Amino acid sequence: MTEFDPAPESPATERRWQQGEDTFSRVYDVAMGITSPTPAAEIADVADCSPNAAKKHLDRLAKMGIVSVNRDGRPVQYERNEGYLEWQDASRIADELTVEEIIERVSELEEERADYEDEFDATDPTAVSVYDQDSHEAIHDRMAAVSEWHGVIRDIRLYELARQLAENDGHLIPA
Amino acid sequence: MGPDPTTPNSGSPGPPDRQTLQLLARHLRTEALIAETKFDPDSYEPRLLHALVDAGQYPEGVVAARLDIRWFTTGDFSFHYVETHEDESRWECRWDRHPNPHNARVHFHQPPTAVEATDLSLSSRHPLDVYSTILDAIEGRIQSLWEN
Repeated sequence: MTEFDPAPESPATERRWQQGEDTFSRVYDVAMGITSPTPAAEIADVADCSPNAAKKHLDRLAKMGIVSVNRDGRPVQYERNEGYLEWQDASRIADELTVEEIIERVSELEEERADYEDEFDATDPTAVSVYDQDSHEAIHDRMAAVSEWHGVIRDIRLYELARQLAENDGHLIPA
Repeated sequence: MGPDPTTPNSGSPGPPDRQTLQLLARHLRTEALIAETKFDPDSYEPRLLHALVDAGQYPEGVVAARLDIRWFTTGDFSFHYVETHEDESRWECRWDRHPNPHNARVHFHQPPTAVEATDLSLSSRHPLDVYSTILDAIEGRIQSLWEN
């Protein structure tokens, strides 16, 4: 049997995620995976388009609120707009779940949080050491658990926002 | 492209990156190789993304295959590929990016047991590029199974 290659060179000029996508969709998708300020030229590299095309589409996405722009730096930098995307996630929860379901879910998450606090004997996940374990598997398991703990804390806030939206008929501020 | 903590063996993994997991799920659903995607615990709180590989793609002897994906807001990740064979044995490997004292931040746990880890170099760490590389590798694996 030929040895398994974990990172084969792609035989096609297009990467598989790019197939059937137009330039705008590629720029949009790449931006959704960008979590720190990044120049348009780097985004163009991943999206396989010209820097000018990437810039045009990124500026449009910025106007829509999906992407945030840092114009102070040279060159101008872009990243996905976490605030907008969190609001979108909360809106979806408010739309699809009842207020009772949201409250129920928050109390389940609070229990999960208490379990993690017991398990790691701490109230703050950033206080737990994760990466200095001897066994690689131990690092891996701890990383998954501490990440989920972080996620539980974040999701409690997200459901809290969803509850406000649900109670105010989709508005952040009561009419 | 993603935040890169400067101290390699400290820090926290950060919560699951829900936007990236949703992005990957959206793309995986367009793959002929993938029969189904599922979020754990659910799509409201994506922590872990399961992609079930279409068992019909494999020669007899492989009864199921899946790819379990974690992506963290720090840009770290784990893609765990597991084949279950007819004789109940497993063939598995894992693409990882996380700080550790043994290997490079990006490393690969070799099949068939996913225990031994070797350094790995990737041309791009963007989630879509990482996902494409791994799907190409799985496609290569399926092809080599047919050639045997």
